[in-house]
Amino acid sequence: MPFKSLVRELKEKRDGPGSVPKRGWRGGGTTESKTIAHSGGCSQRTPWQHPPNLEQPQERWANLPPELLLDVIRRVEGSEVSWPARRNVVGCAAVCRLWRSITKEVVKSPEHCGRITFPISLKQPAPRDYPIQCFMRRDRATSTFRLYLGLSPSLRMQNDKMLLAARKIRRATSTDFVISLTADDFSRASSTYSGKARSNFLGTKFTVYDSQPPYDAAISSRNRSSNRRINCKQVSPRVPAGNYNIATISYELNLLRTRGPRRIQCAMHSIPLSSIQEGGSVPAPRSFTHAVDEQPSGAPATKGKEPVTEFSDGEPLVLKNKAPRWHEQLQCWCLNFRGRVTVASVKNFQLVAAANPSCSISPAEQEKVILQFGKIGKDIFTMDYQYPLSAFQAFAICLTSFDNKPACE
Amino acid sequence: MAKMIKLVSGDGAEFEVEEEVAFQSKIIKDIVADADDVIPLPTVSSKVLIQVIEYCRKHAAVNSFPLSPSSSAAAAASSSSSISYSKPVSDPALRAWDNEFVKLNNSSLFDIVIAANYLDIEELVDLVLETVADRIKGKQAQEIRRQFNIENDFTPEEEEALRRENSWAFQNN
Repeated sequence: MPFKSLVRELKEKRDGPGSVPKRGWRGGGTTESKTIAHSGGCSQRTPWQHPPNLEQPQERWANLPPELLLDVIRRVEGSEVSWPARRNVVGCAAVCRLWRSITKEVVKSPEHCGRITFPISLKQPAPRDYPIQCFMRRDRATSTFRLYLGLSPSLRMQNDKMLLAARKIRRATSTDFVISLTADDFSRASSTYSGKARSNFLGTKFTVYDSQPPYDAAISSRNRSSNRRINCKQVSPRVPAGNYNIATISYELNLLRTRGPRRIQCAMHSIPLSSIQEGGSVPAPRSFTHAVDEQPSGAPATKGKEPVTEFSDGEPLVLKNKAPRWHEQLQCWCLNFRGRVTVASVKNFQLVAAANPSCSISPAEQEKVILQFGKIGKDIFTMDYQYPLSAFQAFAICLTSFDNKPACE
Repeated sequence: MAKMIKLVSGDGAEFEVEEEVAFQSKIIKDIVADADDVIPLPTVSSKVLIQVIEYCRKHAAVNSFPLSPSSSAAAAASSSSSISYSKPVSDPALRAWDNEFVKLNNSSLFDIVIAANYLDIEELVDLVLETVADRIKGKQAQEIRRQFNIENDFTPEEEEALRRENSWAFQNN
């Protein structure tokens, strides 16, 4: 949003529309006081008059001119770039409504700045030209997985920023990976619930569900009622967690080459193929927090088995794993993980966009590794993800490789 | 003899200052160009004006003898942008003086912010806004509200949602 119109909008919010800024230069004639040199004391003075526009002390900072508040918040956001310092930006957004709306304007989405700031950043795409780099820690004792921002675990664990956590829950006919903002609570009724990945009985196919609609625009699905956009500022205490089917992941067993890599295919229902074509983009959620910012669209929660939407402009993006090359000298299959994966494992993979005969994808785009996952130590993995994926989607895809069924190993 | 400009504070006190000191304020510079030598500043109290003049006097002395090409280049670059971000003052002695200057309580700091913005003194605006930003960093929302006397206008339901956001941001794994 252009700066001038943002300032005008904020001023109107504060003063009411049509108000005039209070600056008076040429106020009145000259006063009758005597001239005094600066360094000396005062000789005669007119009686002290209360300067105009002096607010009550309690309200003063609340009346800071919006352009100055914008400047201050920009400075905070610009200097608190990495975690844990970045939490100060989240703090600014929780002070009051005005501060929140300014902070929302200042913070760019991960696609444009490469930084994770709010929980919603986890459901927005990464940059186009470089990945956001994360690592995952697995806790076998509790079947819990934690996703952190950063290249690898730091020496002091407190400095690692945890983004998401997941718990593997085995059921009679399927396995669920429940994903949450915190490792303390995986209840689906909780406000920290983010989504899940559920396997079929054989462990060959997974469905990824998002707890909220993948984007704010009216979801054009088979739902008739959902073609209106809700923009109300009303707040509901608990937005019921939906289950929006956003991706299907399938694993193919390598029957012929048992020691070779298995084939993975991900159909991303919420990402159109056009997003990786020239001029394309991904519709992604912009609301930070359901209750406080704009409500998402009025589509009722679909506890559906159907994919979330059909795109008017073509098919969804499909990802497949990059085929490794056989290295004759080393006698093994090799993928270039660019130093981010250091331990051989059948779980290691790279995903690229699947070539599509009907829609053209440029060779440069086809080469881009959109998701890379691999082992660097006992129970430690790296995960690098790039546009058009979000952290949540990338995490869900990687989790599915931990389902230990015969078809997957 | 340097040309003198007369500034009159909101409470009627008059201050005569050298032109180069007063011209740190772009607004004053523009007014004087219209041949007005006595400048009333009704919204600035004498207490605040004294502090502002002190700052301008200190910085006028430095600006007339720039220490390094980089400091004047930085000044030239900054004047072309509408929002100035922090441009560190290159002279360490001046920087130290500036840091002492802004050791004010929040209420006095607010006065300087308003006056510097009103008078359009670029370096001073930069300094005080940077100070305000520093006072915000490292504080959670509640403490920011307390320090700056800002009212919490979120509803209880919104508070609940914000709590989730904040606990995610501040959680320790």
